[in-house]
Amino acid sequence: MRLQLGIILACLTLAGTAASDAQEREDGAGDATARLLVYDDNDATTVVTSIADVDATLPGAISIGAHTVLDAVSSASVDVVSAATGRWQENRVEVGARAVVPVAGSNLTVGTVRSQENDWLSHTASLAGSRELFQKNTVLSAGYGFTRNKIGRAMDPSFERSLLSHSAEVSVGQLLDRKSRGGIAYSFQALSGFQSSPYRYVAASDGTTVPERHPDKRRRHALSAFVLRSLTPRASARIDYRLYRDDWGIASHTGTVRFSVELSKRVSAALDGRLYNQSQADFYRASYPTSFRFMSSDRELASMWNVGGNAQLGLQLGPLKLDARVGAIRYRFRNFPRLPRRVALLAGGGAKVEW
Amino acid sequence: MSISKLIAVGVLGIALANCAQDGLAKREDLTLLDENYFRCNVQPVLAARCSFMACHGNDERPLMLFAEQRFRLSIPWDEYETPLTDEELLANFRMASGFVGRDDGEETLLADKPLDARVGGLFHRGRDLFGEDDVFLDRGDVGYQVLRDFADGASAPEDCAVREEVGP
Amino acid sequence: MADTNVKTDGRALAKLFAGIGATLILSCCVGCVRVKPFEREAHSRKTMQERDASDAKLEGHVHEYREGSVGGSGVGGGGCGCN
Repeated sequence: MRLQLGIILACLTLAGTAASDAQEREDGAGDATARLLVYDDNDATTVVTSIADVDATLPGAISIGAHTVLDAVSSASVDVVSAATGRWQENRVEVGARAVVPVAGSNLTVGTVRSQENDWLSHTASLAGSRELFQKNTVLSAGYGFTRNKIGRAMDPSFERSLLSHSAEVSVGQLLDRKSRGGIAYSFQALSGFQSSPYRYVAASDGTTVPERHPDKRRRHALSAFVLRSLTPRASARIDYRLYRDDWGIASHTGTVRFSVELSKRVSAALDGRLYNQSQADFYRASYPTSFRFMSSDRELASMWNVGGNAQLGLQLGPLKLDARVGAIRYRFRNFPRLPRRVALLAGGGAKVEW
Repeated sequence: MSISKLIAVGVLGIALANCAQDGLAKREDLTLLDENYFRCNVQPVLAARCSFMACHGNDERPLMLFAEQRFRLSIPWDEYETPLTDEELLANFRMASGFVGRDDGEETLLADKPLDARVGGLFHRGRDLFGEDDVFLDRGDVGYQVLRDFADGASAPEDCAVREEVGP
Repeated sequence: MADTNVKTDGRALAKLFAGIGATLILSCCVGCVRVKPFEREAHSRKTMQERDASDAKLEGHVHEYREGSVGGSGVGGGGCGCN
């Protein structure tokens, strides 16, 4: 059920990318992408995510696109402690559509996404715009999205909660010199409504047990920056950093480094590494001595860090681009005793054709 | 302004926006719930209606209840019929207290889960598994009223008489 | 009291958001480096292109559901003049 919350910011990102892709295409041009990623960890969780995305440019430089995402989750994680459940499986289906329209020198993107799981239904509407300035030295983007979520509980028709989300993002990209460019972005998300898990209970050491209870409101800020530099005619490096903070008390730092190299005219490769560190939410405790106003056993709110990396290989055969990747992530939860460590493996690949 | 200065301004902006909500780590005041009322009125209802081993007399349930001749805390198996110890009663009181709604509008699972959904109760899996006897069929049921009164803050004197168990 | 806090909080956040937005926009108007179109050879190389959007989305998907943080990914769209 937690698969939904990131959708809206991803929508804004996709909208911005769609706008830049659509800028200089001929009528009738387009592309189609299919991609698969398998996540498997030693906490007995496997997630297979597949995505299909298609874009086409219409007369008048209008671009339309659609995508679908399918998540198939199978888990017997230590996170699920109710006796009513052992291993569980569920699917999430997301479908979306977008259109990019040139308006007075800018590109305006409107989009909508619907996502459904057995216990969660969400609808998102988004609006984003981007504009190039100063002889295309600079690009400014801004976007807004609204998501309405309806949350249920498996096998419990009487349980229904709502969660509303407003998201906004502004970013600027800038050519820094002949070989470098960079950018910064700020995003904000305001959530209002049910944000606990309807399946989790929290036991205090004095014997009190309560259904997990998170605050109804949450405001999240993220500021990120990147620099991309061409190292040689066939190699580049990119460094990303993100600072995140929210009003539940979580602060995080994320750093990513990525090297890309063109091995031949058709073959390319990339290596990336990512380091993430977060503090815990103010109300999170590894164990509660007694009943507190807010109580959580959500390990994503615990103090944690993780480190990961990927290796990616790409092959271009005319209009067809193929790629494959493998990766791993090591998680360390500092104060989640039931799962102090977790290791995940990633494998996937994709195909993209342009016309 | 260079990109680096811009980043510095942004980082400072977020760092200065010390926006954590107040009172997130506050303890909860459970003194409104009365231990005497629980011992004399609620515990007999829970023992009679909820604490079978296949139901909540089971340490794998979030609402785990101790009761005579059923699930016990560190009691030898041949003494299961002895009265609950103070420790067991306190554990049951705290456990039940956790399932009482805190704010106006927050559901009280302790009373509303075992109330039949047809009269405004919440889904209770036990009803699917064990039939209508598993739930209170109407709000007039004495068992339901006891649980509701407890959640609403009913109290009893220290020397209160223990209610007869009310089975289904 | 609670309503007052919510309003105050909302105003503070709106100011913060407006401030950062204005800073971003102003930064583009105060003399960023100008790279002329004929100086952008390096920017048009294959290794300097943006990562495929669906690939980035899947990558974000992995992290968003296992960490307490989201957002900030939109910066990937930055970098201009190399189409």
